[in-house]
Amino acid sequence: MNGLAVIIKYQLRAAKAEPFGVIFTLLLPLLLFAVFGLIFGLDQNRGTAYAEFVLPGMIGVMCSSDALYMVGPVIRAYLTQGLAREFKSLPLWTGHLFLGFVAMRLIFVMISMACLIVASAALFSYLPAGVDAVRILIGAAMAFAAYALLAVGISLFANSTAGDYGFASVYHFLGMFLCDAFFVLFEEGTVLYAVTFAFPLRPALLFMRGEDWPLAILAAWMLASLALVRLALRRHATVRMR
Amino acid sequence: MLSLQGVSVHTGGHPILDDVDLSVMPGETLVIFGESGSGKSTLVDVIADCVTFSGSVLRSDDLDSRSVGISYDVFATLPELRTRDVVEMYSLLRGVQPNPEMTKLLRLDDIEARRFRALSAGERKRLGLYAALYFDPLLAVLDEPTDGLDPMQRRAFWRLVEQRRGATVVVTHLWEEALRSHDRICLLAAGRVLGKPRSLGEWMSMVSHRGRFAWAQSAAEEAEGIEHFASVEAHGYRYLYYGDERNRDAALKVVKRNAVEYSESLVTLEDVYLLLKSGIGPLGRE
Repeated sequence: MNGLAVIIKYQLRAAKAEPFGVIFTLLLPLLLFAVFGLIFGLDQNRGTAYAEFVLPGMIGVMCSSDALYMVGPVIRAYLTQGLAREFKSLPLWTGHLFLGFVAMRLIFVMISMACLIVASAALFSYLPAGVDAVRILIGAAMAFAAYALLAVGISLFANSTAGDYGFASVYHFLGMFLCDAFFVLFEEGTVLYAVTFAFPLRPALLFMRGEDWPLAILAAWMLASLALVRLALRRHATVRMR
Repeated sequence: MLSLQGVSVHTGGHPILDDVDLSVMPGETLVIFGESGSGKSTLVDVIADCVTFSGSVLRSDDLDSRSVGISYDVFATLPELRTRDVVEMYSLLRGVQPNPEMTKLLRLDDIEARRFRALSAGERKRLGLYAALYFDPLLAVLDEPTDGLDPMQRRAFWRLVEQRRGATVVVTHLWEEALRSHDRICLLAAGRVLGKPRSLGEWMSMVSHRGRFAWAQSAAEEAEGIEHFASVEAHGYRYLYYGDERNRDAALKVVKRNAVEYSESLVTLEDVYLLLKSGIGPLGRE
């Protein structure tokens, strides 16, 4: 069995031991989606307009929360608590440990996305298809990658796990409410609107909702986050990975 | 099979290891003995290539991650996995079938259904030892392997080491452990190897007896003038070491004249270590 496949298998087995984490990942977005959809989308004259707006929003928020709360702290723990060092002595590339974990999280995110799409079709008669579906998929993948890298950087720079969670929480909730995930808060072209690009969620949502140009900003976010991780890893000389 | 040449590790300008030369022969058991902070675990990190160092580490062609087992001072794995999952995962990652004999010897069967996060330090240590040894590696590097193990488990561990065909490097700060089973003992202090690795018998033959003094500074100073003697201060006492039995009577005469409290005992590896570390007396020239 391939090393990465083995890691993914045991990561999934480990995840099963945390039912609360699984529920948090799968049920919470569904619940929020249903609540916001029913509150803001009750006007039948608008058809599926609100569902088309809120589905990418919910998927983006889910990617942001999963990456910030699950990926960052866990990868920090792998690096600082000896797990990466332990795996380095095994006949496999140490990166498989991290890739295996991220792949496991992606599996949960994808299942959660599928649940949201099914709920959207069932509750609001909106099923994204064709280009819309591809946009959602690409936007979600890029948002997850940008937030995951950012989360690892934040976690490695934070002096404590509590500080790490604290910053991640503030960043996540600000992003969720300022970036128009569930409702429009700022008019386009205003200063406050521009400020919301300080969150990868903003370009990700714009792309998922049909704009092309934010893709470049999202890519820039990914590169910047990668640079942050590299910088943070220099501080953590716990494991030398070749 | 493994040779460290001029290995140094610095952190923030502070030397952790300083110009260490060390070699491990095929099939031998080398015990590395040193106090806390002497650089033992960093030495393991150097062998595992987990830390940036200067100097060189030469490995024979047959040594790679498939043939080297490393047990760090603290074993880490996915905390939610059960013991049996960890055993199974290692066998899949290494491509080597589990070793039921070793799981029995290390009493992993008793904890097979328990999650790693719920295991005690000793149980984690046993699992780490299994992961490092179950595939009978050509070289096993074990950092504080008996930490947290009860006496029975310690015996089981040393039985495992004795049965091994490959080379074993045991790193410990417990001199009693260093005596259990070894071919050579390497003494490490403040990042430097003291003397050259040799058997316990060879180490002990260099110092015959020791005497412990209380409030006898003058005695120690007077005795230092006698050839083959050395005195070292540690834990609030002066320790006088006789490097040569012939001068023992002369030394005792000096000591008994001045000492408030005096006791004498056989020398231990710890004594040899302290003496070498102080760099004085019959071993100071090593």
